[in-house]
Amino acid sequence: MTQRSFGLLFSIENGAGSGRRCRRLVSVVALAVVLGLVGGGSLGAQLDGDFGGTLSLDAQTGTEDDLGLQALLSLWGRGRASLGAESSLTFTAEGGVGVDQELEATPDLDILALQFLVPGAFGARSVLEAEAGRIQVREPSGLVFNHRADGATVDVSLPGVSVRVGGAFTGLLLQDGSSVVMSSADIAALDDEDELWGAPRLVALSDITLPDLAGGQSVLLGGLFQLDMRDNDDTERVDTRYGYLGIDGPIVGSLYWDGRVALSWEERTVDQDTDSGIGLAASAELELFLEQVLNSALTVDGYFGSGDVDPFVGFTPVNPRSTGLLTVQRPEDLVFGRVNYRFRPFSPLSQESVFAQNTELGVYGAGIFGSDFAADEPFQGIELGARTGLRLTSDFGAAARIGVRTRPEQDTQVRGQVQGTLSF
Amino acid sequence: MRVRITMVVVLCTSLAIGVGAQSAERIETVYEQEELRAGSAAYLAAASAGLVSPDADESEALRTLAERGLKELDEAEVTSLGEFSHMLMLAHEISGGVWYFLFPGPRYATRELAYREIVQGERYPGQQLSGERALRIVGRLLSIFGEEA
Repeated sequence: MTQRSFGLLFSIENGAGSGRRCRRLVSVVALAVVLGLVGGGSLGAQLDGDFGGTLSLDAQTGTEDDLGLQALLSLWGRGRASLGAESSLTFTAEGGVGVDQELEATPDLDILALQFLVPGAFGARSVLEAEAGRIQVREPSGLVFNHRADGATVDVSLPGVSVRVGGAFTGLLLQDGSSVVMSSADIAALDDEDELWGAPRLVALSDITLPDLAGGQSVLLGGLFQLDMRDNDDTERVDTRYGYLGIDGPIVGSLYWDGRVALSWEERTVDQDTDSGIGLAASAELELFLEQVLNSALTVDGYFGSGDVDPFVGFTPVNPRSTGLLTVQRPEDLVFGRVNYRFRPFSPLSQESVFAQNTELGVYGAGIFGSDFAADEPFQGIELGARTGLRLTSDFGAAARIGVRTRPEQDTQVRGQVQGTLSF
Repeated sequence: MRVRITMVVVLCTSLAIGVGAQSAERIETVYEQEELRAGSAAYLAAASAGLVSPDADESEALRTLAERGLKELDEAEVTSLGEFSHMLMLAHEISGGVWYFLFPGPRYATRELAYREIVQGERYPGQQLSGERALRIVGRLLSIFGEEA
């Protein structure tokens, strides 16, 4: 147990100011929760609650990685006050502690949120949903930002349109639990053992979704503004704005598609010198469900993330989305195309068996390139992989993955991952 | 619209359980309960599993489930989503997860049925449920486990 690990709970040389901010925020949320639930209760609301947790063990290794082991114990609690006419106030708290192979423990608060739900707030078939606290904020394209943060979102769903606005701050997350890395200052902070907090970014977002248009297609349109809150001394600052567009829906029968594109405008400032440019990311996916063939699905997807190649600069998301590849972690200066097939081999055996219905096998192959096709060698290799997800009971499962990547003029890279999970 | 939904739910559940016209009226009565009573919940669970005849009374259904491990409940008392889930697990002999095996009861019965998407939406074990929601749950359960598990 290091000071870094437990710094959130006990206090701390470098983070005292942020710690006070954090504690103040937690106090405000806790007070709001108490007032909300007590208020709901005093108004005759029905109160419900539940709690539980998950214990997971994760091991991963590879030809270019040491063995990494982690045990994670997560606990959650949820309380809801029904406020009549289907309105409700829900409180959610989730947190846990991770322990690695060096027995270094890292506690973290994942979610601490109040959610206010009012069906019919703006007429029949409308829903008003407001959420505040430490929440998961995800912009709908999935290309720019999907992370926990402290803030609030308000979502209004009307027949034929859904509108959302929100704002959040990432600087109160523990660094170990933050994947917000956009600048050299963020990278330097990762190597600083005394740095407790994650990269401080202020994010504001707004989006509109038009579901069920012609042919069952859904369209989303949105924008996100990100402000680097680091002090403007010797460090690099990165401010970005994003606009994104997405379309998804059925094509024919059980064939579905999904397309997303995001443009970024970024400004990097070092010593009052500012460079700016436009980045581009795009993804597309075709998925064919074959329920009659071992409950299987065939997916073809592709991704483009610009690098520093004219006319673009490297596409820098607020936090990197998972590529789904074992050997590629960052979605910048990257192009890949992938074919994936997954099936549930035991699904015909028993409709009643959790194991038979949920145990899944999958294989995939991906071609990986750099974003500059005019370069001498844009081809960066092929990753072939397989995975299995075993669901022995509803609360106990295991999963394993292996990926092999061949690269031009380099050794073959192999990575594997095994995970077991028990919920309670 | 609501009348149509009522008819569909009642008809489907009646056909699944295999009841006659008189018993279909009982199911319609269950459908109209704002807060499901323990006797009605036990009847739905036991009758849908074929443990009692469609004409059986609620006390017989409660007795039958008590023999399988259900705690003593009064017919008229309002029941919860957890208790109803437990009744369904007992009646249809659904094997639960690790924790249901160790601690069979409403809490992990709700989790099991929620995992199987038989219980959908809010899933607090202690929350009350309407007769309409109970019938929808029975309908989804029967689509997986059939009339008699």
